[in-house]
Amino acid sequence: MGVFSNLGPKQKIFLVLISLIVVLFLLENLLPFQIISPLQKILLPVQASIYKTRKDVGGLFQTVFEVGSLRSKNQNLEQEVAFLQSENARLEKLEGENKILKDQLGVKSPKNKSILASVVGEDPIFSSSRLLLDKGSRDGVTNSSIVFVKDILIGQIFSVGSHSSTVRLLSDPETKIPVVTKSGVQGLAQGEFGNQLVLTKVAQNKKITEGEFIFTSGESGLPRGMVVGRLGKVDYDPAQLFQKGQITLLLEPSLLEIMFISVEDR
Amino acid sequence: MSKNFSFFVLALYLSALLQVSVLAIPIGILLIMIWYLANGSKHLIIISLLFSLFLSSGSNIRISYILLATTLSLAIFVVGRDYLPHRFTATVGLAVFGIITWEVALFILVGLKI
Repeated sequence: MGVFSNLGPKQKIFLVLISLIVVLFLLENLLPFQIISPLQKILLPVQASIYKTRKDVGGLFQTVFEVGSLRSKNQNLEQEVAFLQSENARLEKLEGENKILKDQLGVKSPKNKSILASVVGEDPIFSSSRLLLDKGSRDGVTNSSIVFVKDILIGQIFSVGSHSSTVRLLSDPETKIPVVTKSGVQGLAQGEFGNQLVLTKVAQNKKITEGEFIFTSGESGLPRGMVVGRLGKVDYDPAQLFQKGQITLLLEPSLLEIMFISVEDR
Repeated sequence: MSKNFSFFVLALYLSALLQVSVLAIPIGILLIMIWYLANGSKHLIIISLLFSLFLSSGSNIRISYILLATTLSLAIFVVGRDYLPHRFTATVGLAVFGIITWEVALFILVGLKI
């Protein structure tokens, strides 16, 4: 008590703040999500509308600046759609065959369902490799739930609140995913600072080519065969132990407004 | 509580919203520093706690982590003000250093996941 009375007003304030940090830390461990949960429920719609407005305004400016290149971009996209439609038709046929074979072998699909989540915010720390989604533990989202669009992997849930969750995008420096190329070469997709994703740990005797699709290999708790991206420039240096290549994402996550989260069917 | 304080709390909430929706810069910390320059340490605890609460609800980061980063950043600013000359450049330098400290501290705490 004597020590406390000897402290100045500023020192007392910081002492109270440190005590509060300790109390909050203990409370958060004892009662996860309980402190911010009611506030989150009230404030999340406001946050979602501000985020959407910012996206809309940003999109409008981007369209104005890019209007010159839109025609050629559109032509390229039309061509790409035609290629993809033909590939899709072939894959649908293969999927049908695959289903028949699975039924015959008695393979059961995992009991997972996907829920729709809207992007409501970004990481408050100076980086854009994490996004906030409007689905949380009450919707069945858990740490390491997978976030995707169609068959394209977007990221993995990193922290879960009661009404929201944070997805760590593939380009986050902490991302490390075992992958396999279309030709069957194994490697590791790793996020790097500056929102980049690279393919590493590819043995020098394996051949990887630019433009190849990259899929999850089914290790580290991720389902097999999800699209990670397309292989870009490959750095081949015989002096190095492994080959390395840039991975181009098929979808730019920061432009997405909705995503799917894989949750266990309850 | 005065009307000014109520407006300040609203500004803190908006700053937390802007940080998770528009630009990942802790404008709230800057506001708290400005409050300190104008009003001294009056309501400093409540303000820091509210800012941490708003940002925690909007970002899913633990409130104790945000409050720790905020306290650290404020401590640097307050101690710096006591020891450095009260010039504009020194104050701006301290504020920038405080913001960087906040970002780095939170980045480390979130990464550590204690």
